[in-house]
Amino acid sequence: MQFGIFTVGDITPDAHTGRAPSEYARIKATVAIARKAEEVGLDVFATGEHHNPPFGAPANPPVLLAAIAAQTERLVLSTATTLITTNDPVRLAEDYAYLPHLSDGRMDIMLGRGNTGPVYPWFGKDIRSGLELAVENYALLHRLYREENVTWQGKHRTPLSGFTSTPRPWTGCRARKRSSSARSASGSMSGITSASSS
Amino acid sequence: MDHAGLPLQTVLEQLDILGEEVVPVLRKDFAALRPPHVPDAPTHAARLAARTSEQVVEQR
Repeated sequence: MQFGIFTVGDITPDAHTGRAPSEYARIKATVAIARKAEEVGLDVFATGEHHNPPFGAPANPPVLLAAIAAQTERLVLSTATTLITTNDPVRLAEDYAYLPHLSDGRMDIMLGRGNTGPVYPWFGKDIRSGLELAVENYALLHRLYREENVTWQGKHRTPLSGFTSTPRPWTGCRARKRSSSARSASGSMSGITSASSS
Repeated sequence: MDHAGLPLQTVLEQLDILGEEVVPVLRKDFAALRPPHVPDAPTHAARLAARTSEQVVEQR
């Protein structure tokens, strides 16, 4: 069993002083809270995803969690939740495959639909299709993680033809993958080359 | 823990109490009360270990 905390990142005035923290202070405080969670021996830190005031801090969970990953050693980083309705599943596949690489696999993703109607059209969606979006997007995300060559057609985003989501999910088997797969070995070498030349 | 405008210092103090006094008791008591048929949560580490042992079996 794992014990942890999660935040919704609300920017709310202090009841005693009547003053609300700045977005900067709230975001930095969120990182400090996550570091403290590791220090006192908790297992998990999770962040919600919100796009409307007063929820300023967790508008971008993968960026927040990457910063926390860089400042922690063993804390599991999770979303609580990631919006599977209004986020493009291709974008989600990329973000949440990248983060496990940076954090050595210390990442969980939790998916939810989102219950705030006005958020949907900000991302080109309609809450009346919320359930349908969740089902379609989840099924696509599931395939993008497991299949390297995805041809797909659905109702709510443009079709995909022979698409490979990158980076591939972190498997935790770095040594074995290098020795058993010429394709992944050359892929990682070209990655190093382009990074050092840019 | 950090909801509704609580100052950071208060949040950090609460986390000290949670981590040092509350969670150790919860860990101990939950472990003691857990029936044998209840599995661990499906963590990445556990699923990876299961997959690795399956591959070892296949190779034999």
